[in-house]
Amino acid sequence: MSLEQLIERCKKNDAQAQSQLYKLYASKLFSICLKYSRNYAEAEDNLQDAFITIFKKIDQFKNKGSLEGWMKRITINTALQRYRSAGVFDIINEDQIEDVSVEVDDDSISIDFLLNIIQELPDRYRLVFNLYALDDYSHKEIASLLAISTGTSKSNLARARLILKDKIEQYKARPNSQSL
Amino acid sequence: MSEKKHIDKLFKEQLKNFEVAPQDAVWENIERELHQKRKKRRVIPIWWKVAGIAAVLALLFTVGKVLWTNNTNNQENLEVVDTEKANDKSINDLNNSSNTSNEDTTPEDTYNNTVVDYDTSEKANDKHSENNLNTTSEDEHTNSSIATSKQKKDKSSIHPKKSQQKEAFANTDVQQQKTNTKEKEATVNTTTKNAVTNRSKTDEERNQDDHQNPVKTNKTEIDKLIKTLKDSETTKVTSSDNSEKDKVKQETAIDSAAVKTALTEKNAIEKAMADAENNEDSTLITEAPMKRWSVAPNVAPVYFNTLGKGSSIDDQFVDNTKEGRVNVSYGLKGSYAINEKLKIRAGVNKVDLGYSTNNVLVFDAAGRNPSVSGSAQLGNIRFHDSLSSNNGYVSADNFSFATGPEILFTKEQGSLDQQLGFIEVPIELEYSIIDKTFGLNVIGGFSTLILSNNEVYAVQENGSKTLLGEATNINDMSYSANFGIGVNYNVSKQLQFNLEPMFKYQINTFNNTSGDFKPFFIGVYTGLSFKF
Repeated sequence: MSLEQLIERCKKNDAQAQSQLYKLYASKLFSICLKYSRNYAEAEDNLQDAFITIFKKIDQFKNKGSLEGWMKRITINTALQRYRSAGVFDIINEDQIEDVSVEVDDDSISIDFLLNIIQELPDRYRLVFNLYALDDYSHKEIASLLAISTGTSKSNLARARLILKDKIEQYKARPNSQSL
Repeated sequence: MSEKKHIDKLFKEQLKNFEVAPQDAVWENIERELHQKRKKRRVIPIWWKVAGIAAVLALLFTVGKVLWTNNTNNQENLEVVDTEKANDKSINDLNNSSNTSNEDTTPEDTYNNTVVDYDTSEKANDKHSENNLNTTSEDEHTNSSIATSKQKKDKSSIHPKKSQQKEAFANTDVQQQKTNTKEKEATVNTTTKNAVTNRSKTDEERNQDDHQNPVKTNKTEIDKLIKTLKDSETTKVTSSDNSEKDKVKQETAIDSAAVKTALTEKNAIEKAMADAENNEDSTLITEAPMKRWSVAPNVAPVYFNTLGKGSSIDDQFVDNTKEGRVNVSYGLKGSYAINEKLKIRAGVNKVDLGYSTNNVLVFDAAGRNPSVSGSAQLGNIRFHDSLSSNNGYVSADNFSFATGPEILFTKEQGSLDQQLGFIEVPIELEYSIIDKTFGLNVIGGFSTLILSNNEVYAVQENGSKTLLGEATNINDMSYSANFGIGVNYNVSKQLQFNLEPMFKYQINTFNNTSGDFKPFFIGVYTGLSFKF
């Protein structure tokens, strides 16, 4: 069965097709959820909500662009929905910091660790970092999605990077890791 | 020692092919929710069916009742007609009997027949007296002879004896005489007619009549009657000679009474008949169907809110406090009383509903990419085209940002105001518990709601209101289940004041709500109903 057929059947609320679509994309989308969420449980909730939205809105999918891209956007939006909140376009209490280049040693670091430190980031830093660094959103798009200014987006990104760098360096400074 | 690398690149490369299979439970949850949704969707056809059945029942009741009422009217008419017909019948019967006797062409013939029947010994006597003598027992000879000399009227008193008739018979005579008095023909004839069942009697009397009429052509009915009275008196006197004194007495008494009544009642009966007719008329009036139809314009303040926590606008507002709005509903309803207890009613109402979602932060989100903002904005709202959606709307309850106090720098704190207008078509049953000057009813039914107005406003704290757009998740047609109590006061027979607090639980008004959004509205309907 081609993807088009699968989509068509999903549009008709075919339970079997829905199950198949889920099986095809669940892992990919779940990794997104994990990155955007605070923890595993929240990621599962996100995935659930995202798929329900996908099945509900699949009839709006017009085969423009890839289904995967569309589903990813819905998943990200679902995750953002959870944290979407007010912001100000002028940061007053937070000094905006410049976008500094943050470099770390390119050691092989376990995915689990990287995922952990992403999840440990404050919500908005995590979202901005994910959107910008991992999912190629522009600051303008991020500002729109999170209802913040681009300046805030940039600043948040910079702070996220610094925090992540610290964590990686701390990790490496551990006796265990140094012996590796 | 590895070379330095941009942190973004590190993460991206590492997480590039990162995939984790979620637990099976996730799919089970999704499946369950999708299944639920499907179940919910099925509500519509079921509701349609119920509505259809109710409508058909209502129609059948109405049509059936109307037809039935017409039938009863017809029956009532027929009854009246029947009595007349019955009279006619009896008359016809009488006529027939007379006809049958007439078929014998001459009174003598019939006379002969009777003689043959009853008195086989003697035949073809023109004189009644002889016949009577023959037919009666020998004890009655004297009587009958007197009767002959005086007139045949005696015989009428003797007849019962002859035919061994009892009081019942006499009574029937009386009754028949009554009916006969209606006719202008001689009472004697009628008595003859009465005797249809008793052939001998009729025949004899007929003969008597036939005899009498030529003899006493000049005599008026009244004279005859007076005579019969006299005769009966004589019979009484002579009856002492009879072996069957008591019987004769009794029966003659009855007969004379009958005759008397015949006399006196001639007019009286007509009066009575007229009275009876009047009575019939009056009973018709009292039995006339109660005023079944009524029309009632009504107006009501309606209060809209949700039973569960939820939002019709966006997921993020699920936990926000909702404030129901009081609007006005007005309309017209008609009702039809199926019986004294049960009314079916239908109508058309214009109903406006609205509620506001509190604690909504309005902020300036200028510079966002509009292509993304659609999905990032309020889930179920299609924004007004002319509105430059530079503002974002978020729930203040959903602050989970740990990023710092800057989030508190919101432009405005206000509310989202959703306003809906419907044309409501309720079909309800009203069951009367108390039906006095003050009445009490319970009401149940359903309404079809047709969407007529759909607006979402942003209301700022300073009270300024901006039209944002319209909700995309409201069905054009939805339903509500209605329950209520009606109190009414009968101002007059035609006019009734109604007060009906109604609870209406909306079904499938929204097709995509967040959380446990269960909309309902309460209205206190007041109105005047006019019965006819």
